[in-house]
Amino acid sequence: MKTDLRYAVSTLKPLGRLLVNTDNISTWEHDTKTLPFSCRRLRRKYRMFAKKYLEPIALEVDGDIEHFDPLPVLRAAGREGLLSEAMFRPVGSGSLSAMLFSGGLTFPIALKGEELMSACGGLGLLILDHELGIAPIMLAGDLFQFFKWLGKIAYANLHGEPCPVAFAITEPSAGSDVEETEGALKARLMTYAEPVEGGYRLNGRKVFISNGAVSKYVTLFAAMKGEGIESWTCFLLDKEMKGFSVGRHERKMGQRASDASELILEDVFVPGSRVIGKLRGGWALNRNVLVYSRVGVAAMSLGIARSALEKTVDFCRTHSLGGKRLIEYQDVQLSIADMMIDVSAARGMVWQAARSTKPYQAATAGAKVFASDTAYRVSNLAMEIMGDYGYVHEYGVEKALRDARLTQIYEGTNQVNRLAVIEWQFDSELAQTVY
Amino acid sequence: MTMSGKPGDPDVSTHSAFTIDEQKAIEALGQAFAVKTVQPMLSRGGPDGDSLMVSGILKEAASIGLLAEHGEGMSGTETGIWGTIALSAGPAMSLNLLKNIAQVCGGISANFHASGIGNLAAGMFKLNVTGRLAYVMPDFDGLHIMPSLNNPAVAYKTASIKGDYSGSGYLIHGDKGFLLQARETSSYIIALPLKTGDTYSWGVMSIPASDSSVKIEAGKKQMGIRSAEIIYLNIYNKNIIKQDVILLNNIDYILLLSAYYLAGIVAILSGIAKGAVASAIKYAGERYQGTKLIIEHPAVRFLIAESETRISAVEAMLEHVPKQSHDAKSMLKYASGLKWFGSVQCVQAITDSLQVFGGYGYMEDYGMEKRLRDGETLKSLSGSSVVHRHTVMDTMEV
Repeated sequence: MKTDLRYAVSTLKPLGRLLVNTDNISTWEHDTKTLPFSCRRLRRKYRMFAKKYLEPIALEVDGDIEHFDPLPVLRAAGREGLLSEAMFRPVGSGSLSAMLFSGGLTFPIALKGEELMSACGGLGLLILDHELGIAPIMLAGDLFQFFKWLGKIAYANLHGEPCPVAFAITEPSAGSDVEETEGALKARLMTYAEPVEGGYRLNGRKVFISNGAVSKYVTLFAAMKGEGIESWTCFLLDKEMKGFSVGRHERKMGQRASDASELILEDVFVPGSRVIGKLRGGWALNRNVLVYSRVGVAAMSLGIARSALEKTVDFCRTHSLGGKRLIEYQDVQLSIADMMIDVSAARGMVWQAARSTKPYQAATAGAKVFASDTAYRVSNLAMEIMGDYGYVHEYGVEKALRDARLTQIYEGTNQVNRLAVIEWQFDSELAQTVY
Repeated sequence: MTMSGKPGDPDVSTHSAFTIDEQKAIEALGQAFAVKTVQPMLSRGGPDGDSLMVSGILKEAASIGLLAEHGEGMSGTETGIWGTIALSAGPAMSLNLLKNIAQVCGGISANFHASGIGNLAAGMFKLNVTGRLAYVMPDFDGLHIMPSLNNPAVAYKTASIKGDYSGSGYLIHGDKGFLLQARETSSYIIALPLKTGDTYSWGVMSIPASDSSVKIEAGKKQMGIRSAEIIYLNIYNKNIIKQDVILLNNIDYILLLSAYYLAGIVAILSGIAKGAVASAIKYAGERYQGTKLIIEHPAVRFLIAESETRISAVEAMLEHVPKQSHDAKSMLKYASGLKWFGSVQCVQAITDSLQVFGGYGYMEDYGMEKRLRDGETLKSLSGSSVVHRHTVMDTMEV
């Protein structure tokens, strides 16, 4: 007697069968089918790009970062329009319909984040960090800056001249401080801008800047000389500027294809026209950028979690123990089910946060914490299932774990993000009840 | 463990235990060695230190009797890490030394562990072999050990290395992946099921690494403990004469070694975790966020407090290991439980300690990412939590 669900459904009357989903497709396809047409198309496009350009070289690049040239990957991403989506067609390659029909400004980025990172955490970051770099111009640039810089950058990227933009806030003694309200008040800043004729002179250092070495432009935050973080101002710097140089490249545990570099400013002259947003408006701008970018990091974490899941499933389908394929063992199935549930839950949270017309801090910070913890948990489960194979580089699961670990740290540690959730809701449901 | 005194049962009661003062002196020696000799290796070369220095470190450790190599006149054979004294005195001192060294470097500690267990096996079975050894545990039946216990016929069907009686001796063949060994291991002590006609038994023997029937493939690129080696061992039809094979009455002694082996891995993990917490406390006590040292922030305090508690729990379990030695099956149950539970706790403590460092923890320079890689590797080595949970259940009376 057949007892499986699909057979049971087939015995229902026609109307009953119409009410039950019997599609024999992956969860990825199920989820994709829930999206508006334009988003479905985008999701497939990102997946195809990741499979074609990132996945085949992911392990090799991670294992030999010294000999990795990021320009071909950036060039391919640029030509495919992945570095110019901030501008809608015809100037850039952004899909207005995807944004409008998904309901959220950041939804396309969430789709891109998951797909690229599911192929490789490092290569994914290499491409995705550009969105963070241009976010200050998107949020605070005036019309002139918007069209001049974003248009120029989009054009270059689309025409085979990679032009990534990096985002620089972290300083040697100010990491979490620049991502959280309480710490910011007493942040120990060391990058300062001094007004001079025609612009500003910048001095100081930034550290751990993703794509700091490979980027052409940097949106960089500096305080006015003698003032604190309340005077923070965002500047758009060109790497060609005199006195602007790249220092040490950090050696990271994972996400290695994207460099994390020190940026050194020695009397760098920045014209006044390169101030992004208001003078002394950098702190507010930074906080708002983080509200947006945390959705991106949440999606990136989701992609890494999915990568660990997919690699584990692939392993369990093709490896046997005691004459049975691993996937046929119920204990393995239980763990894989846990991983699938975790990934689905994270996707639900990420998509929910990204679909907000105007992202808000509690949602994006919460999604970032949950998705990054999920990525680490799922990667750990993957290593457990794969046993000794788990720690071998060529199977990719240990790389997923190393890549996942960073998502719990950047864009504010998960501890800082938890505080951000509370901060935002403090005057609503956390406010003191007045009787 | 049962001491039947039958032929084939090794003598494990001829050594006296250390006095407390002697134990303290040896453990102090281990700590001093870790700081003075191992630490400099980590400050050179890549994230795992200067691998060219490992050989010299092990040589020095053998000369002062910390690294147990087997043979008459070798200083560590009896009193080194997993020296033969552990057979009577229990594993406590070896576990403590592994922990102490792992606070500085998990990979170096893994070298001591692998070589020591090889030495202990050779001493237990009184094998005529000298040098730096590695012990090759038998594979059991897939995820489940119980069907193989005291039934070598079942074990023979699924063992990766096995032997067949060939008239003058046994023909040994098979391969073993993911074998932890110290650098420059000279011989393998192999426990395996043997077939003689229609009968099956457990046996132990040694095979030199240089033997023409032995093929060793260097491990594939591994996530952590890169100072030690995780290799693939292939033995192609090695003929061992009958006199060189120790036939065992039962599997108890093999299980005892397996239990000590697993406990040793957890001891290394707990050492790595202790080192991680110590580093986190130091960093948190020096680094400010806003006006406060980060150690004053509740989130950081909780991370450290939870880590410390996890380690304490694992240490308590490690201290309990010797008490189980009267019954090998119970001991295996305990060691398997310790392996998966202890691994999970220690790795969580390591990753939480890394979190205290924020971005710096993720960079190679601070040594925290190495600790996490080492910890994750040891957690998966020699049976992940999936395997060991089955073992715990299998060894329980149902």
